[in-house]
Amino acid sequence: MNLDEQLRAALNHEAGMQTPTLPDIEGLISGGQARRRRRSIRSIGVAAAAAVLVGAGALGAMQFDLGDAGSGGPSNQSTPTSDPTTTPLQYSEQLRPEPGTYRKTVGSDASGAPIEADLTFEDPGWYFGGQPVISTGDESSSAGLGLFEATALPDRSGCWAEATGYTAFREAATTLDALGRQLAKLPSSEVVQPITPTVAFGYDALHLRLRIDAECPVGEVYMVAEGGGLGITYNAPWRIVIDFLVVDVDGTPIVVARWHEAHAPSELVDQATRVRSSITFVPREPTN
Amino acid sequence: MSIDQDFAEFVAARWASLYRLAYLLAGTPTGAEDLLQTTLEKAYMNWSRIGRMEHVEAYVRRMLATTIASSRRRAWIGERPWGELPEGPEESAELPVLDRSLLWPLVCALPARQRAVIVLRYYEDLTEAQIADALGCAPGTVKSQSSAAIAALRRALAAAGVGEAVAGS
Repeated sequence: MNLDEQLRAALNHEAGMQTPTLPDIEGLISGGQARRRRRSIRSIGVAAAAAVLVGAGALGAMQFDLGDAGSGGPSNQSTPTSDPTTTPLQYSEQLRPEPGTYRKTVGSDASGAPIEADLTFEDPGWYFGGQPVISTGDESSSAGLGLFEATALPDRSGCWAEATGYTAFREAATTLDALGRQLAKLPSSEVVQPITPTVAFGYDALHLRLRIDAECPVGEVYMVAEGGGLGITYNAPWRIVIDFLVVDVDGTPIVVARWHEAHAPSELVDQATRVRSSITFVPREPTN
Repeated sequence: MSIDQDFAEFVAARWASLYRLAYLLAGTPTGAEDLLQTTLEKAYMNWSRIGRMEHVEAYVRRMLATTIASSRRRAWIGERPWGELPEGPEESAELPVLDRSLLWPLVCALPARQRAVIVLRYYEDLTEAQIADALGCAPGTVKSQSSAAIAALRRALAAAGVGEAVAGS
């Protein structure tokens, strides 16, 4: 008997001696749901049903769906001072913000000072763990927002092995135009609405809408960008639509991305849109 | 049938079989449970896609291997095959029938990825290419890992005084 045969016999014997008891399947399911939520929470991503996508595309071609993002405001002027009592949104996988206004750090300026934004959640059911996400009751579809200063963007497939952190990155551009061009070439993406200069939240901005169809291998997720020390990822088996606004906040490009899943109902997308429309960047204290 | 129901039925039907593979890959009962839980949670996340596959269990079994390999992938960085190595069966010399309780601890003592290669090859009966695919590495790496594992097992068996042929082959 050679070693191959001995190994076969030993492994089969050892495996056959195991008499596992059935696990708590409900616990497995809830664990899977929590895992999905955690990923979504750190995420930007997921897709829109064809009908929704076509509708959104047609509408966007005419008016870019930016009226809710303050496009009528003056360029490069600070938004009104927000309530100083707003609650800071800090990373937590458990946080479910009650309706109200929250403050989030979204990047930093050239001096290293934080750039903050206030977001108002009118609807219950939001999760927050880095980025706000809302899902249908059965968690079958999600939508949300990403607000971040991109430091790196994916190269090649964009698929990121969660367990290993491996993916190919390239440095994110630091100017509005260059970053917009980089985003327009995200892996596995298709431009639904091309880059268009606009004004959003009172600042110069670029608008861009992408459809991303990246079927990453199991165990990997699509990473849209890296920013704020977190990977901005999504995990979904279908396409996603991301509506990007790249906003020049006093010289720092900040990405505001509203995303939704393929089969996400329009009400869910509307909820994400409402939060996006509430965004105000917090003016910085004058330095003397 | 809902996704949850479909997933629950799959787990209930295939748990024992999956657990046995997880046990061999992880080497301990608790490791097997952790590995299986992690893998099934990941599978659940994509069940709308996985559940429609023709060979669902085969896919989940591959996920088990991918998960155990990925969890240790950092340790693999920098490893490279060390040239053309003979296929395993040709290396094997005749051995006396071993006490199975002797061989299994030696398999468990192998580095995780070598153990995964051995389990996938001798328990799952996967080809070199299939193992490479499951572990996300090059076939040459599978070959080198397999050879290193077999060599380590032979050395350990020789050290345990099991057959002169083991050490000499």
